[in-house]
Amino acid sequence: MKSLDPRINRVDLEKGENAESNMDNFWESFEVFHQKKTGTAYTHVGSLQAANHEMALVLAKEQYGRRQTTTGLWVAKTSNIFGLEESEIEMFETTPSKKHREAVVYKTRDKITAFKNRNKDA
Amino acid sequence: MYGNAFIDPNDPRNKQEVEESQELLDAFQAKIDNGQKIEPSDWMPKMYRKQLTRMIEQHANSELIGALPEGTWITRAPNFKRKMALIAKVQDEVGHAQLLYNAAETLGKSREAMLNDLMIGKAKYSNVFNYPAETWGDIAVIGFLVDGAAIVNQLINSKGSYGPYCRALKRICAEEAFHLKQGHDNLVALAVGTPEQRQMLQDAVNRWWQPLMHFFGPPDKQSVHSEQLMRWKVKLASNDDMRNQFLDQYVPKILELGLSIPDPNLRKNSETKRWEMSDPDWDEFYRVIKGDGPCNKERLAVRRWVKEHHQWVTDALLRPERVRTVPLA
Amino acid sequence: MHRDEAIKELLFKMADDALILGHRNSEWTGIGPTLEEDIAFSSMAQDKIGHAFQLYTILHEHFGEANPDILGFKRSEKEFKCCHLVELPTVDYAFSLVRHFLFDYADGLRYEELQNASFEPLAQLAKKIKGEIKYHTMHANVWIKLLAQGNEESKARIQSAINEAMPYALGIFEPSEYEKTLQEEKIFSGENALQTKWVETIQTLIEKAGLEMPDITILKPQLGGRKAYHTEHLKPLLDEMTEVVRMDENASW
Ligand SMILES: [Fe+2]
Ligand SMILES: [Fe+2]
Repeated sequence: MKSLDPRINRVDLEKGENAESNMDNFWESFEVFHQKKTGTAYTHVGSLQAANHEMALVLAKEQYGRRQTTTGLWVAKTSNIFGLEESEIEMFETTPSKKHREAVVYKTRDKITAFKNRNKDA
Repeated sequence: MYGNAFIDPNDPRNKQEVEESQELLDAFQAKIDNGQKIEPSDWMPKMYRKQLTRMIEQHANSELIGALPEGTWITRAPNFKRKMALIAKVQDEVGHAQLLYNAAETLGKSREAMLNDLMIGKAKYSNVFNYPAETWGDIAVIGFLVDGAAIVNQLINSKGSYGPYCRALKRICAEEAFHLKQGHDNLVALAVGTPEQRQMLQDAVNRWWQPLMHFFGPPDKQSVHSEQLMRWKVKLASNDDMRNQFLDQYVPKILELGLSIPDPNLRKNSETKRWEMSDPDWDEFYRVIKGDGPCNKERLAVRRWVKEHHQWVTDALLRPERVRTVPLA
Repeated sequence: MHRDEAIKELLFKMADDALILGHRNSEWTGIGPTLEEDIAFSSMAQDKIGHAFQLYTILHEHFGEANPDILGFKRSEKEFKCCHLVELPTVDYAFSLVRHFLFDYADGLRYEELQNASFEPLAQLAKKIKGEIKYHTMHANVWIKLLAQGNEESKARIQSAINEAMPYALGIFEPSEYEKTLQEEKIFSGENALQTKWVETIQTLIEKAGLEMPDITILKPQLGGRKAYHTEHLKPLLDEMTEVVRMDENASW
């Protein structure tokens, strides 16, 4: 097989006929967290496969840091990340209605005004 | 196809495999209608999972195989600017493949399984990459027009319903802006250059026009029509609509350079606002899909070679204690 | 004047090394061992080609040499001053990794010293790219270490690539006729001093990885590149690299 790509012409493509499908052929999955600017939070930017943490960081630098400013990078094994199931998300349903946690529901001005008026009258 | 590979839901083999409760289906639909995204751990209909796996996997394969025609000229780019731009551009395509394989993995198929299916010819990728990059002019045409067509498709798909695919596409589309610009820059340099450079470019346009018209798939009247895919926001625009959008955007940019398009019947109907053209050779399209294009064999042979040649690297670092996990993407 | 000649010679060999090695490493773009590593290695190839461009730019702006595209793409083999290590064909990934390891540690030490060069444009460049080279050596070291400790096969492949590459790597430090001038002018302490530092550095890393450092006292360094005598591989590389630009020497691309 003659290729138009000189790089391909230099290799022995026929050796590829020995390539075997192998489903056990994987390294570990890592998650990458990226900080764009000091003082800001790290953001999850994606995943990658690597043989260990050290390699994961080295590879993350280019796949997730080559096109944006970077002030920090973390990797963690995907298997170490725990999250909620979809069905569990309903735990958060009433959260927006928990008004006792919000500043706006604490209205004191009316009472103070009434108090002041009362004192004035007295 | 690019992000354009659909399973025919009307094919009896694909009829709803299990009874899925109407309640779940309705809740799923309501979520999508609400503009919410579907995340990997969410319940989803089997057919939705199957459609998206196929679509994202084929998209990922296209990025990876797409690196080969352009890679043909990496060692021959004519100056510093072009050399660095081409390496960076091909690198981005490999990066897109990486992001998209991750997104596809969230649906349950592993990266190895996808790379295996690709190299043995079981999985598909965009037909356009089964054509050879014969000259440097092809690099300009691929960079500007093939990427241009891909962007039309990817921008539309980025509005879809599956979270990980949308996230990957958001980054991909941002990078495509550079691909398009460097492609246009290269194209313009040839178009305003010597008569030989112009000729080389015109020849490339002539060779790539039909594959470009094939890119968005068969005309709507022939292709599988699926209400459901539209409702699920898996397919967001028809083939003809995307083709029309591509022609709207790119025909003027070709013509302004005094280049010609090798279709005497191509014109925009001012009443319907739709492009009319000669019917491209759809038999060839299906022939190439089936594996009989000019470069199918080489593309797969290269992927098998990559696997075989580098197998020792993977093997050396397989840890027995490793666990298989689905990336979060 | 002597100073100018000395600096020019230094710039040319550094630029030619960077261009040819970047070119060689870009041969893996799209066909590398894993997707993630393909991306990382491509980036470093781009960095190298970028270094060449910046070095040629200094030659152009400060010494009246032709522009970088002419220096990079229109000189003949006999005008190139690269060492033989960078010319060798890309055969397998073990060799590419080892070449990258050996070359980039030398490059890192060279640029580290050049940050203090009395020739300001070069000192500036050395400061600018020191982070890039730090990444290159980190990447090289992580891979060499992992593969050395991987399995029997990977260890053997890395070891034999080291054995094969070492005489060529010694050619990086082929002394120039301007060594004294560079020292006197406080530009660079010379190839010999650099080689000594490099041997110390890589010997430690190679041994820490569980590999064997070849006995360099009995090796014959592959010299000649700096005097424009090259391996048979450079000419075909340049012919390929310039195939398009040679179609029309006066066209702009
Ligand atoms: Fe892409
Ligand atoms: Fe692209």
